Amino acid sequence: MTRTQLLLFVCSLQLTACGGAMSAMKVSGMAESYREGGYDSDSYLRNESADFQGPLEKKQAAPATLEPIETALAEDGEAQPVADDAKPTTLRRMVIYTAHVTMSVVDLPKAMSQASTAGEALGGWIQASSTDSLVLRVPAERFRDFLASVRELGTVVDEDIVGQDVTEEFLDLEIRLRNALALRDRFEALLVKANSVADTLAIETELARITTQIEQMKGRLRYLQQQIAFSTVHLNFTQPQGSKSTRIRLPFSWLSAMGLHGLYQVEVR
Amino acid sequence: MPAFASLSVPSPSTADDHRAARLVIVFFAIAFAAGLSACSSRAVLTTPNGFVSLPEDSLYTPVCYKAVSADDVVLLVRRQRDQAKGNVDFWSEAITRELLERQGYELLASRDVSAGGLSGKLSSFRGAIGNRVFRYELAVFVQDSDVLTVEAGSPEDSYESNAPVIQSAIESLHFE
Repeated sequence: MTRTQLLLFVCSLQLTACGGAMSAMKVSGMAESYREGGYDSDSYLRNESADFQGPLEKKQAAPATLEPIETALAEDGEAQPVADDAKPTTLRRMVIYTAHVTMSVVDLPKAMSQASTAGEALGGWIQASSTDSLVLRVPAERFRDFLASVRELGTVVDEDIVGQDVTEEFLDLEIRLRNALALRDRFEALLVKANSVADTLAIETELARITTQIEQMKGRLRYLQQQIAFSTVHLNFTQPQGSKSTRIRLPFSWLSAMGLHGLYQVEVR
Repeated sequence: MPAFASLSVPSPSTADDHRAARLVIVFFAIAFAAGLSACSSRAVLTTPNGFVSLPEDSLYTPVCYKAVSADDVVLLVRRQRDQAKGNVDFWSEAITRELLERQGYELLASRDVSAGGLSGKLSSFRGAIGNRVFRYELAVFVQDSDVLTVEAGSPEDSYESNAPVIQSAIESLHFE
């Protein structure tokens, strides 16, 4: 096999791989895999043999349609993760949820402790903490429950929830990874048949390049999967400050003497 | 008859002295009447076990009653003149807003309460003095032209054990 023939063969492999990747049947098969309780890209990543058959090949299903971004906002205006079993006939959106919540609490250490406990009780963990802030990761399906429990700790000063839809990136990465794995298998088969040093070197160079790409795609998929599975909640706590109200003071001066300071500091002769 | 004339037609300085004297007398009369009004019906609590009540003559107006425990629980009854004639809802709301909006308290609960033959409103707050967190219980009553407030403060960490005593004390309001 001459070098020219080898390069032509490699190019034809690339074209074949790219052309076949986007068939409707494969997309519908992938959609089917999502419908069955979420996609397990780990199992996908574990299976790298030449006869690997991921969810694309395993399932034959009716074409799926991507539903509108349902992340959405629920009726009460709050973003919420999509339930696993929601709308079984449509492709599940893959959304990374992030919330920033600022709370005003009287007892700051207690509120932080309660927030941590609530997050851990829901299967989450503390990613970072400081004297007046926490970053918690909570399972996406308990994201809304956790926010509800946090709101009970005090007064919500500010709340910001963002849902980043990564469905397209995720599907694209999976298809590219599948094709890259198939291509690597073919290169390995070619390597066995190579009968010159030049051919062997050329194939090994291609193998090294495609292997690097595979590792990068795997890493990105793992990252996305982790981000999707566990939502991130940034909590900032402040203590209420008096005398910041712009409310007009009532003309009864004794009102300002009410409260703990008046109670504990009423002088005795 | 210059002496008589001087009596019947006093000089300007003498007239001013008399006017000033009358004002002083009127001032003291009003203050005495106000004092009588405030103390004529002294609102007190039944002092719980573990508390000591401070002597009446050691308290500044408008405090009618004050008792303390050794573990920093304080009971206090105050009487304020209510020239505005507000009802319980008005005064309870006014104090609550003062505490929430100006002093940064957290309202935990609010309910109706009866004590000493009066109907009032009992609210439970959480607040802080420095870094120490306290519970603050406040009952508001209106009696004739006065606003009666019964207050109790307890450190947050000992509130659960003191709560029954505090509730009983607030509801023991009576008049001597």
